[in-house]
Amino acid sequence: MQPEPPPGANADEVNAWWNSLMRDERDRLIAEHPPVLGNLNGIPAELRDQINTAVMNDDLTRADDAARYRNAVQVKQGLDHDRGSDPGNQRPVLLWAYDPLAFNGKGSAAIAIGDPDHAQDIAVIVPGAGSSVASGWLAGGHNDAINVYDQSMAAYPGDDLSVIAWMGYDTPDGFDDPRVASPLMARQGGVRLAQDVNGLWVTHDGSPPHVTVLGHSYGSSTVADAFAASGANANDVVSLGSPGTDLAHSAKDFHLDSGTVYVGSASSDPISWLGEGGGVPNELNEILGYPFGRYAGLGTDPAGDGFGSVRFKAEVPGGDGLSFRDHSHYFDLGGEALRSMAHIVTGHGAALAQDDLLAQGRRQPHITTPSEVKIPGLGPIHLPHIDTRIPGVPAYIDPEAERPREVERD
Amino acid sequence: MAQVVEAARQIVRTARLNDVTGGFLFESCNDQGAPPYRGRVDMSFAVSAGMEPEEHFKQIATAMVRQGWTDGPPPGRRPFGLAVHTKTVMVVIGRACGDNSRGSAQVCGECRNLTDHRHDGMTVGNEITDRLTGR
Repeated sequence: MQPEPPPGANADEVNAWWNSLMRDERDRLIAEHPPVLGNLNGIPAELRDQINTAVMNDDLTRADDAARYRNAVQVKQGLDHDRGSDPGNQRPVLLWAYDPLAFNGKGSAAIAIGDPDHAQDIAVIVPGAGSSVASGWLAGGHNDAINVYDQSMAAYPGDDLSVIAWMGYDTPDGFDDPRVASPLMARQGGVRLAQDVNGLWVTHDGSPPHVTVLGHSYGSSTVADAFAASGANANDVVSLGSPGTDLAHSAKDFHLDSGTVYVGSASSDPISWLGEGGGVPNELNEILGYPFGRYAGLGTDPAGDGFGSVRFKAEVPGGDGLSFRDHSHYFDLGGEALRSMAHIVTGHGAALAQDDLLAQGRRQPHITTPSEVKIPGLGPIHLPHIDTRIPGVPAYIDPEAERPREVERD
Repeated sequence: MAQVVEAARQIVRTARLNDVTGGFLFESCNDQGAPPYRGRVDMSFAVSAGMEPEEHFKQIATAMVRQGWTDGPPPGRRPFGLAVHTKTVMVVIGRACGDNSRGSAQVCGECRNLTDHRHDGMTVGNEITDRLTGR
């Protein structure tokens, strides 16, 4: 028996190795639960959950290893949180990835609500700066995955959905971490994300699923890099509050076959204005105290009308003027961004129009010349008609900022 | 906590819900997980025998509106599901996960809790079935 797959094997090779094992060999490996096995793309999700849960339970008894124990507690709480505390209505959760000592002790993990191998729709949520297992992203009270799952099921009862809270890369520690101004961690994270997303297709049972990858803030740059540079394969992408799409200069660079890059950017979210062509990045950056370093922006603003994306409404109720607070309300229950995501992740992106959730992109001011001038005595003189964006001027007109808002806010 | 638990208890009593179970958690009012937090009760109940779930949910909403609640979500909110609200809470009613014989209600309160709950376990959730159904 081959005790483990060849070093560096991809998801297809791992899957072939796993399927080549005899039943008792697989059972023995599951019982022994070597930690590496639960993180291998190509192993079925249900078995990864069994192995990872066993490893986590071991770690919960190891109080002598502080980092390992602390992150095991965080992951256990994340599972409890996503499963829910109502015993009469439990969400089905799986521990799809678990590596408590990854990233210098910040940890790596992914929790799936719904089995991705049997779901018709899969949504992968990628967080931004300041997120990690150790910092409590999985159970810390922001209900990104829960709300996407619950609202999607409310919108389309009977849909077979899996939502994965993916804490699988090393993020900048926060807006005060100088690394947040660099795309390096997004590019490195994009490699890992692409491997995991592509692995979902290998173990999926039955007809191919509809896969959506969603990134918030710095996570949207990571998602963009996964598609533009690391060969991630999915149907649709959702970019939320993006500071820029780094190596993807337009929607085409995501290489989605027939899918769509959807964008949610509140007009009052200052981070979403940091992308090049998306606003007045460095002036704004200066006013805000250089949260993204001296040179703001991580690439192109996907909310610009020339990007090739589909922008959905994502305003914050009561929002009035730029506020850091409005960078963090895309997953609010009842918010138009969450409503839009429920349509998108279930494969009903076309319903955005019917549900009045489409928004116009940000645009540059245009310069327009008349097509003729009339000079007394000479009659009309035809001129070449010019209607173009003013070169070098960022896209700073946001039609969403003009939309009347309800006044109620939290 | 009292704000949403009392609202949930009122729904249980007014709509005469059966086989109620539920839990409470603090939910951050932003995607960063930072304060402030709102209280949130996630509860579920048996759909009345012989009734379509959506019919039962409408009956619950109607009962709450008769008690002075307002039909629909608060201004500016557009959740999927059947919503009713007061000045302080929003309730979204729908089907429970994978079980058509049960309905669910999410009761969300105001963002007024300023304690940092990121590391005290209060965002994970605790069962409060007894408090929802007790007298």
